[in-house]
Amino acid sequence: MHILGIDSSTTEMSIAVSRAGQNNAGFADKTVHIEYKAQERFMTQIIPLIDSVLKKTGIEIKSLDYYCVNRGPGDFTATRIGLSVIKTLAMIFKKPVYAIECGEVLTQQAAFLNAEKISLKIKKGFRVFVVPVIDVKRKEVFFSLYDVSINEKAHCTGKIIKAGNCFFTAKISGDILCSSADFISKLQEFFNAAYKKGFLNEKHALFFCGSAFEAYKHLIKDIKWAKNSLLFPGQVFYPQAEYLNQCALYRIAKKQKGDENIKPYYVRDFAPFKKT
Amino acid sequence: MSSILNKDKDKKKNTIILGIETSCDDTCAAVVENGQKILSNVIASQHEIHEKYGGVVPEIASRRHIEIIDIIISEAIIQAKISLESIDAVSVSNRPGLVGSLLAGVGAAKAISYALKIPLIAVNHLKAHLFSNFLINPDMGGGFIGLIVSGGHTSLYSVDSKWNIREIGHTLDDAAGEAFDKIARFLGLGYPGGPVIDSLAKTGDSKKIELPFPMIDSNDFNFSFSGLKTALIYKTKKEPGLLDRENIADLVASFQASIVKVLFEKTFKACAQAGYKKILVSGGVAANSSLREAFTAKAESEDVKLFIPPVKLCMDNAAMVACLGHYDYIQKRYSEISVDVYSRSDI
Repeated sequence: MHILGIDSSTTEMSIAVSRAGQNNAGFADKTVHIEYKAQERFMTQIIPLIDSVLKKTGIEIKSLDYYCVNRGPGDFTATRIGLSVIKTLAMIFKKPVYAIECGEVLTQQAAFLNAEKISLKIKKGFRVFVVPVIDVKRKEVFFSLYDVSINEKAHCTGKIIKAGNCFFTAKISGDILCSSADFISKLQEFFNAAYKKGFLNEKHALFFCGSAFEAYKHLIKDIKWAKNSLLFPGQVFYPQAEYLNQCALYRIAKKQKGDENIKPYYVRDFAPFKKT
Repeated sequence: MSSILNKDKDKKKNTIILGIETSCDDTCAAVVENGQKILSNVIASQHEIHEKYGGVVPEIASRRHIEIIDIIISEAIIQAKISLESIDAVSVSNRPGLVGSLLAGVGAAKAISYALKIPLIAVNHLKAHLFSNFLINPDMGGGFIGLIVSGGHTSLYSVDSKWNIREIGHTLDDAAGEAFDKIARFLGLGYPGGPVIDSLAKTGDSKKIELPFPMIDSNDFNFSFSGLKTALIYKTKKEPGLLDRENIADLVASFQASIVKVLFEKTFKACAQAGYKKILVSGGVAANSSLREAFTAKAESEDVKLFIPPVKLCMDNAAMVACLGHYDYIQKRYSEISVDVYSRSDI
């Protein structure tokens, strides 16, 4: 069973084909992955890159079973390029397509790339959260809170987390859009609320990632609830298609249906001008 | 190219071309057989969405295209009652137009080309308008003056007998359709302006209110409609009574008559100068009833053969894109899969 994923939501486009491992257990056992960096040429390169990934994988496009795409938030135009191609391929071959939010892809990626450190924390009884912070232009940032320490034994061969496989993630709160200037105070407010709801406690660990995170790294350290609980092992700024595929494989394993009428995740409505 | 445009006696099989058009605010897909027989022609208009802004908002148009592009293409294939395997090539407008809008159609067309292993044919939207007439009159041949008049374009083309197309004039500012939209917005008549003004003008007297005929005597074939719009607005400022309900119809009738007169005077002048006896008019504004009447009358008096496709084919549609795609397909003029989109382009 193979899935093709396209992530064109940021300034880097990536395309990956993954083979589901262990009877669709929710993670890939083989992935071929390509990255491309010139955003202004996404439209010209998207098909050649898909072709190249498929050739490396050695399977025909008609043999793909699923499609998935990062629906943002991200660059509107770039995101739409990936969507137009994926939607049409899925329509032609009558295959399900999964539209995954950017924050979820980043969370999966951050957890995967730092699996050992996170696993260790979880074994010690910590609850581990990932906070993707995405630069959505116009001096605004977008963030959410994902839990990566959910027990999903049924899908994970007896271990909560098996490095090299996948993390089961759940968005527990967030989707907050705020100006860059307000980010730190909004984050503090957000953590206070999360504490009241019982998500954060003395035994939690936080992991930040995303395109807007680097700029705030030094400030986040001083936030209450973040102090002493930050994990800074690896840097994850841009979402990658192989982790996008991972998110979709998780849904497939849980027998979730594909998405219909998919569209980009726009963080703001478009209000161009007043009627004259 | 002329030999191709004439009936090809050696034709072995029918060609089935899927056309996709998303250059502005309409999401269109169509299936055309042999460059002539329309098997389906699906158009999803966004007029209602853009109405409250009085014009096309590019970001909103892009958003709408991406939501429905796959559904519209699927619908066109279903309505045509064809199998995917029977499609010979996919043709798509990749220039000129709104970049965000074009990307939706071109992305989909590339996916289809790659998935079905069929040629991709990226075409010029304006050239497709010239070809829309072949859906009705496939034997029209070359040697004519073409006027493309819409919300985004107002251009004159000289097309010789070998179908070499040369632009001989274009608008220096607003397109004719744009002028209709702006005046309709100014007068609070709604959007799109063309149809509203067309129907209201029928009850008005176009001779009562004097408006200029911009560039009618210029020695070139360019147009300018921005000044006409300003003239109308100044006139109503000087005489606010013109905005009264009983005068509005006369006002828009004059405005429309001015645009139509400039269009047909220049088009027929170009035709006479080139020594042609054929004129083709297409584009959204070619749906205007006053324009159709004026061109028809003038063509009769000047013994020129006039070709104006039916209204649905004058507006943006994918059948014309598939039609042009057919002629490119039989000449094996395929595009690279890495073809890009362009906001501006010569024909």
